[in-house]
Amino acid sequence: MNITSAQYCNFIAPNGAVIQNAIIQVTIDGITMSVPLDPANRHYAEIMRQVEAGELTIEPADENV
Amino acid sequence: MALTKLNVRSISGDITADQLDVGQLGGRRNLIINGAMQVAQRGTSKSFAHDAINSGYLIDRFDLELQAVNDELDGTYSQVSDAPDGFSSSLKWTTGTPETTIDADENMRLEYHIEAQDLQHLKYGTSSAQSLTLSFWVKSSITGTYAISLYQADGVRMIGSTYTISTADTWQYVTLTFAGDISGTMNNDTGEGLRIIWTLASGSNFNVTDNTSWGAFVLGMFSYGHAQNGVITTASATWQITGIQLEVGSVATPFEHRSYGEELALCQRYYYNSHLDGDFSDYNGQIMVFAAGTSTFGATCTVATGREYPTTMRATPTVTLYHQDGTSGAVYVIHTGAKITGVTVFGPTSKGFLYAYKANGFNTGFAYYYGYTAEAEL
Repeated sequence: MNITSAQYCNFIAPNGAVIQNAIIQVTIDGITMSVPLDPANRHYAEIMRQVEAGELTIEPADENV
Repeated sequence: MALTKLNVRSISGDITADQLDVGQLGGRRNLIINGAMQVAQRGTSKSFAHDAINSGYLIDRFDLELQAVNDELDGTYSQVSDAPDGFSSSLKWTTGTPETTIDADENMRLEYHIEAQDLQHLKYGTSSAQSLTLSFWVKSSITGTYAISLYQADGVRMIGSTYTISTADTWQYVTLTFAGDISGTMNNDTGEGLRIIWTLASGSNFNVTDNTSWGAFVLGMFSYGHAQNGVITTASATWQITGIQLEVGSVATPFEHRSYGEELALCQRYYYNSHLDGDFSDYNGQIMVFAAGTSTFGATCTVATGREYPTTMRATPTVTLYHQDGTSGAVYVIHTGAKITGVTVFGPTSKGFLYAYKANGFNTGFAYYYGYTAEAEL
C-alpha cells in the first residue's frame, strides 16, 4: 500500500458547527480516497501504523473547512 | 391447482455414517467467497511493480502482496478465462521483469481473509476445535513445492503445509487438511478470524520455523516449506488458481458452485463499485445527485447528496468518489461541465455516507454526477 499523502479534513455541519478531523483524505497508489477514523478499516489501520513507525505524517486540516 | 396424485420413488442403497462425516452437509459448505474467481468488480487486470503498486485486490476478496520485493520485479494480476473443467475463470499472476534474487526479507503471496464472526462454528480454543480442509485447482509454469499457511489473527497463531506442482502448465487439484486449534482464539466480531496465505516466493526470514502444527506465530513460520521462487525469478512465469473451497472436516467435497449473483452480493459486504466492473472513466455507473445549502438557488454550499450501499458493509469503508473521466476525489457539474476536485465524503458508516463534501464547492440546487467505490476489506 503506497501512501503518498494524508490530510485530516474538517466539516461544516448543516447547523454551522465545525467538526474537527472527521476523516482523512489520503492518496493511495495514486487514488484520492476518504478514509474514516475506524480502526477496523484496513486503510486507517495502515495509515496509523505508518504514522507510528515515523513513515507518514498526517497533515492538519485546512483552517477554513 | 389441487394436488391429486403424488408418486414417490423409493431410495435404495445404504447411506453410511462415514459418508456423512463431511462437516456441514447442505449449502454454504464453502467458507470462501468468490472461490471460483467469478467476481472482479475492480476490473480484470492490474499491474504490480516493485516501485509502484505492490499490494492490493483485483478479483474480489483476493489480495496480492509483494512484501519488500523491491529490486526489479513487475508483473500482472489478472482474471482470465483459462480454468479447469467446470470453472469459467481463474486468478493469474504473470511475471514481467523478474526479480534477480530473493533477499531474506522478500516475500510474495496471495491472501484471503475470513471474518471472525463467520468462523465461530470452528470452536477454536476448545477441545472440540474443528479441522478444516482446503481444496483448490492450481497451475503454474514452474514446478516445485509451494507453501500454504493459515494465520489466526486474534490468537496470533499459525499452521501450514505445502503442495507440489509436479507438471508445468497443467491444472492440478490440491487438498490439504488442517487440525483444529484447541489453543486458539477466535473473537466473535467483524475482524479477521483466519487468513489463508499462498506463498509464491519467500526469502529465508519467512521459511525457517516448522509450522506443521498450530503454534504461536513467529515470522519464520510464514512460508515454511516453500522451496520454489521461480514464479517471480523467471520472466513470463505464471501461477494460476481457482475453485478454492475451505470446509469443516477432513474430507474435500466437490466445489460448491454458487450463482454469480450470490457471489456478487457476498462480495459487496467488502467492496462495492457503482460503475461497471473496472470501468472508472465513463458516465455509466455515475449517479446524479443534488447540492443543498441555503434556500437561494445557485448560492455556494458545501454538500451534495450521499449514497446508501447495496448492503451493510463489514466496517466503515474507505469511500472514493470518481469524476466521469476517472479522476478520483472529484465530481462532474452537469450545468457547466466543470470538474470539482478535492471532494471528500462526510458521515460514512457501514450503511452509506451522508454527503459528498467540499467547502463552498457546490451550488444549491445544481445537479452533479459522481461514481464511487466503498471498500471494507479485512
